[in-house]
Amino acid sequence: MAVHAARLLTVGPPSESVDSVDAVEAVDGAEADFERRFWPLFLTAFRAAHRILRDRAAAEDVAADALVRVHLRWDRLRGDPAYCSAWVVRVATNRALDVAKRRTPAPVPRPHPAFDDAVASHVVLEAALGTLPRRQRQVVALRYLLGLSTEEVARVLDIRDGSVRSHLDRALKKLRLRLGANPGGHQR
Amino acid sequence: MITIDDPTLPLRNEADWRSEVARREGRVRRRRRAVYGGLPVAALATVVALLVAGVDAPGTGIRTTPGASEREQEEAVTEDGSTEDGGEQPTGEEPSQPAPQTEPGSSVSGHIPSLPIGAASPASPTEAPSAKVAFIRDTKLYEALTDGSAIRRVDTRAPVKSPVWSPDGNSLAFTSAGELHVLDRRTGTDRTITAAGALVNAPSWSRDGSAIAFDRSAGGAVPELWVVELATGSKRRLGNGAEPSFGPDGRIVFQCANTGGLGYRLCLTDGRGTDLGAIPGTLNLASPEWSPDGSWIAAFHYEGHLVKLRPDGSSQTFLVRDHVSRSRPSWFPDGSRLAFGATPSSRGSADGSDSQHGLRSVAADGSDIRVITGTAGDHSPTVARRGSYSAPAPS
Repeated sequence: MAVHAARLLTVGPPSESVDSVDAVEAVDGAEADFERRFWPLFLTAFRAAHRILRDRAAAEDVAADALVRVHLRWDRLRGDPAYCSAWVVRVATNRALDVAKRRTPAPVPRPHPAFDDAVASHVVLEAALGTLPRRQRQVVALRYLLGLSTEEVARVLDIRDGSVRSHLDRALKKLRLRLGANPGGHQR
Repeated sequence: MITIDDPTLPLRNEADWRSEVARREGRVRRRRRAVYGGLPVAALATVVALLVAGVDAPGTGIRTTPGASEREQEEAVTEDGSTEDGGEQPTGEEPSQPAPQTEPGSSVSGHIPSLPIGAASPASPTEAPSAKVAFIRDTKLYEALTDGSAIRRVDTRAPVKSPVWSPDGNSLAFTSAGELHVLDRRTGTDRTITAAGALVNAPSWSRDGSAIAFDRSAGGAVPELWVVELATGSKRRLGNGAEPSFGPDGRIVFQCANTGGLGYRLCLTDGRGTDLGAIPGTLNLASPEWSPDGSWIAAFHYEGHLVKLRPDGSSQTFLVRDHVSRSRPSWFPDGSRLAFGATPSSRGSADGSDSQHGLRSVAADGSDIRVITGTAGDHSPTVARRGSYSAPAPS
């Protein structure tokens, strides 16, 4: 990836400059660092997307796109692993919410005794999420679909705890209104 | 560090995804170069002026529709993968080209034709045989002719899933709320075939119309394949699997779990309880549908492609790349064409619009894509092999 381009650029007239050798090593270090952290980050993105989409193929697709974005700005992300993992969760969540919003609507059976409660509530929640404003959608997905704490949600979205709580509060009021009025809610 | 409590693993392995990410990143970089790099400032100014005017930039290979220009700008400014309006997320597509003419289908290793954006035109009834097609729009059942004319809502229960015409074209099997139903379109009689208790999915008629295969899962368990005899109501379990399709000789092709449990592929059974094993080379294929004469199986590839292959796994050919929605394709009565649901690619629509939504048909060699409907969210088409269709009275 980027390291190959960097190496190619340094091939040609031999350079004696210590600076340029250092630069190449720095790039190599960054690349090795990315290679090392690729899979844990991919799994984080994949699992975030999977909690929202419940579809492994679609979640993989989202995770791959998220990792492209991570690599494109790796120089800014690599220095802070905690920020990096929060960032990749945010990217994957945003992308997964977009995919969920426009994917082919799956008809939702009305929950009946054999219909797994967790699946039913997830499908109904996902459908209702599409009706919320973007920030509220993010907050609900991170808090309830990904199971993050409010502090973690704040870190992922880079906003204050208080804002998370007020977005959650407003979103839940709307969801209660919507789901209460239409308990067997169908998508779209 | 953020940790997500979920043990689920991806379908493909780590090495595959490392190379896939590198490939996608290469496309993003090439696109950025094509848009921003290598252009003198004057040329860039010209392109910007053309963008504003919404015309093609000659020689750049970039179709500068307003939609495309917005997408390129978004790509440049988006920092965290979010879209402010929650809309389309651009992700590493090549610069959109003028809509290509569809080329005949090619082998897996060769060029795969994309769905030509905006190039498909409503079929003329005089040019292609027209059959009746049923499909789902907004969870409700509709029917029409395959040239897109005479669309009408079928007055039945909703939500409906997985409709499929009986071989005589008189009845539709479908699932609703996890139950299997057969609707007689002449009398309007709706017969419930399986009672509530487990989720039934993907019905498929035997060629003589006497039985229906389907998959059934309860409480998130592994789906099981079942066949119900319609005359007696007796059911038999064929083993584990999903999305069955009867062939003319009574064999059933279905989606089975891949060895090791990661991913899925296509398997065969004789329909009487004998497992005929996996079809080689079918990893990540799903929603199979046997052609009328039994010589081909069409299937959905999980990356959004439409594929056909011989029942022994040979001659695998991509018919449509990307833009295919996850629902079973349906063959026309003479096997000359296939109907499928179209959707914007999971990697972003090529022109930033929703023009790829709706139902399409494609010739069985991958050429000549035609519009059946252009309505977003239409999916699960089923083309009747027989039976007449009376157009709705003009209102």
